[in-house]
Amino acid sequence: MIGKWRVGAAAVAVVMLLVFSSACDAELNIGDKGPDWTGIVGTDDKQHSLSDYKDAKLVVMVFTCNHCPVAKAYEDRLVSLQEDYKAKGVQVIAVNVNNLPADRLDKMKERAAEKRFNFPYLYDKTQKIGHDYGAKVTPHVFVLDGKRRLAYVGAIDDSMRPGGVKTHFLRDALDALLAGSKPPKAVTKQFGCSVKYEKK
Amino acid sequence: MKRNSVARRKVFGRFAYRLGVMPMTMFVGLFFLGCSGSSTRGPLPETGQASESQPAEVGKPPDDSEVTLNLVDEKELRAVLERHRGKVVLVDFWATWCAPCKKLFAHTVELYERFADRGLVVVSVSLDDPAAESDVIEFLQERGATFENFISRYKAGPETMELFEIDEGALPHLRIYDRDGKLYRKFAINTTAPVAEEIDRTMVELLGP
Repeated sequence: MIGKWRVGAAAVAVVMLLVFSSACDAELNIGDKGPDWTGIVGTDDKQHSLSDYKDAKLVVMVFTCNHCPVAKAYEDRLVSLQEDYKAKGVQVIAVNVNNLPADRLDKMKERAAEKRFNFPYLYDKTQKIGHDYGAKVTPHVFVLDGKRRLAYVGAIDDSMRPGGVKTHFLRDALDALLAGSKPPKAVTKQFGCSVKYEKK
Repeated sequence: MKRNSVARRKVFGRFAYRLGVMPMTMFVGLFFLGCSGSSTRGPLPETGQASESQPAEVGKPPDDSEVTLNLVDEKELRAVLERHRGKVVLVDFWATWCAPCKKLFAHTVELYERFADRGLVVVSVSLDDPAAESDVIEFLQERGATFENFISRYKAGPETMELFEIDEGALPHLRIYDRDGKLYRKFAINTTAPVAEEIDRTMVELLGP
């Protein structure tokens, strides 16, 4: 009897594990290795890989897009962040995985030129990179440390309206990491437009 | 705290005009004087607040109904739900920056028209920055949102999502409470998608066809 129960319980556990691992994206935790990615096209028409940026002390991956008003509200802030942190060895990489007409590569090129992006703006139409990282909204930030482990995840700051910003979560995290310490807040709630994942 | 500096605001339709525009304008004017006075104490140096509630209806289609908008935090929202115990309550979390929300909002207005006399209470909560209040009012007026409308006391950002428990961090997000005040169903990005047909089905379950 007990044996049967055990087998039954194990079977249920296996099934549940399968269901959960296939239905949900793996949740990336602080300290986890950032999933690797290669050959993702940018608005410069070149293929980009995470290993291209091996010299960067910190990599700031920002899932963003063209159409979302929240993402747009943060474009200028990302440009000035890259400017301020370039010499410190911080590399911003913007990634779009939406396939809406307004978010496709030709539109991304227009937007990158218009807003004078000083960082790569990549397009993964397979959406794999978004699933791998568990990007839920635009903008959604993932900071990878020197060993490319997740060191900060969440929002850029505390207010969509630039005039209302009090706490610069991302900048505070970068400053701490560059100084060799832990971010004051390593996880903040994401805020923005939902990433437009396609049903499989 | 300074969050209280923007208190209750009402925007009146043409009905209010018939009641007398002059006293109303004066009242609103005085109200905003008080408002900007208090905001000089707080760190919210917003300008132009006095102008945003100037009679906005000029040139708009006639609308005899009244659209109200009040600030709300998560505790005040709980009190609102408590007040409506015994009714079915639909809470529509939306924002002017959220295109799908604006689309779905028309459906929320329809639900109100269809089910209000059967015991449905509709509450809208805009998660816009309080500084975007005039845009919110304009939208609510356009849609004829004559139910209870609120705007978050918190600025548009992670905190508002956290405190109103929008776990997915994205909108639209709708909640339906049953007559006992219990959360009956939640429509959220990545779980039960906020789709009109599904929301309708839930309404019929609770209130009949």
